Amino acid sequence: MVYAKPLPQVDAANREFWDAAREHRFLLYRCESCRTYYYPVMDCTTCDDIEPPMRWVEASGRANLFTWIVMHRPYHEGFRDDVPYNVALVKLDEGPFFLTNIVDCKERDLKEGTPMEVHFDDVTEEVTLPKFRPATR
Amino acid sequence: MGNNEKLAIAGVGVTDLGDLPEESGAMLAVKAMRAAIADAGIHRRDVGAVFCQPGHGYGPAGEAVLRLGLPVNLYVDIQVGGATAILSIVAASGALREGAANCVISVYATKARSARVVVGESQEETGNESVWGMFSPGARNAMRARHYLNKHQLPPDAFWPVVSNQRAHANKRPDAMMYGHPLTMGDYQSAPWVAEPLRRLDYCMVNDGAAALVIANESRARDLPKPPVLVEGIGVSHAASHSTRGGTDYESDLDVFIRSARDKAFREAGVGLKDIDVAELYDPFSIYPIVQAEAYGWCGEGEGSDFYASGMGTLGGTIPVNTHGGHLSWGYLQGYGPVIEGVRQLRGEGGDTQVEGAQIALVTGFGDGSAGSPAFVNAILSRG
Repeated sequence: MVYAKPLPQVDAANREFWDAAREHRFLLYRCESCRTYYYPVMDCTTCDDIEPPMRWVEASGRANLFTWIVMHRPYHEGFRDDVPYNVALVKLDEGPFFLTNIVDCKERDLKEGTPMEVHFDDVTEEVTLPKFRPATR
Repeated sequence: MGNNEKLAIAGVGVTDLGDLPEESGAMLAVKAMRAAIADAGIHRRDVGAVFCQPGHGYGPAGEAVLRLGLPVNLYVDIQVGGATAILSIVAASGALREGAANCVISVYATKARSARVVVGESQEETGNESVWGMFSPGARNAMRARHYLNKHQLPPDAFWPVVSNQRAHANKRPDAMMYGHPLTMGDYQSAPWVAEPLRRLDYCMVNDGAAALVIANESRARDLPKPPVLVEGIGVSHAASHSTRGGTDYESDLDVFIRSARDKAFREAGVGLKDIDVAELYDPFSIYPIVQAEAYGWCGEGEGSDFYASGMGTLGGTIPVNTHGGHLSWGYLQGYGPVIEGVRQLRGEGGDTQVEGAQIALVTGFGDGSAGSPAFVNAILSRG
């Protein structure tokens, strides 16, 4: 079956993130000077350096559910058969927020603050989307 | 604002709002500008500068400016979403100070209805958020709405009192799109979800139409037939300045930067909350008047829904809010709707929802030009 949903637009700034996701590794962007984590890619806002030493590092893949919605309208053809589906914002243990989908959980069971862990969904041969599910440990 | 004189809104103009397939965007802009020029009592040759916010399905207003024969020294497109109307007043201040004009027009036109525009449905607009199925401004605000409901442990119907309050106002105003269309709570509860917890009736109108403001210095405005409406203070606050993580809008707490913008405007105007007689609050979705009632301090945190449910947001209450029906029931002209209704209230032109003796109005806006850091803006207007 052809995957009809949008695929990530990969560029120099985020290539490492998506390459790692394909290997089922979850990376975050970190300032090596003050150790603050960022997602998506941005320069450190707490350091005064005009070019802070940012790099991708392995992250825990653990988070808490911050908020979520259930989309009832298919804005994009690729999601027509999926409605209603959830889109969620999780707060990663390292600090940043991450937009994602929650899997292995019914919509009515979603609860703010629930511990979540990353789950890698290989949607095509080349692309893996990090999704989240209720933590199993 | 660096101008020695106060600024004044000398005229306002609005076209019909609705499904207007026969009207081009340029023609709608022409009609709104004509109406604003007539309302101000100036001649078109007085207009030296035009700031245009291109709306959905309609580009720059250059054609409309030519068609009206406006002898402009300065024409600029300006796009800050729902913050544009108020920020165009700041821009007008510069044009007036530099002598480019003695009257400035700010104009907005949209063909969103007849062009069947769906905002935020493409990956071009939403970027990599689209891979998880995240589309549309409504979805972004539904994220905020869910967080609000969870934080204050409120039921999904908590936004209904805002929808109801504004629909009741619209039903007293023949200029509102929803005039003659009363709503019951049952109607609300049976309206379809779009991005749950927001229903179709939590969303603003989608319409064609145009609006224009004539902005001039106070002394010029005082020579004109209608009482001038003075701009006493303007406050702007960007999400990015209140977030260490880039300020993606649904992550950041709206109330933090609303209060920051409020404090700037109140200080410049020398007013307090009790001085405000009427509030026209930007409302693309029903949650906005709730969050603003709380952030300005008319009620406590988490009490916005009860505030509107108990009639505190209508005539005779603590503060009448969105007296024309707002974007939810009057019509959507981005941030121009609140400014125009604020002006009308201060002139005593509010018809059956006129706030008696209104002297000071608060008008607000919120938006950004592209994906990024949105601005919350507000202005204090007074009857001059």
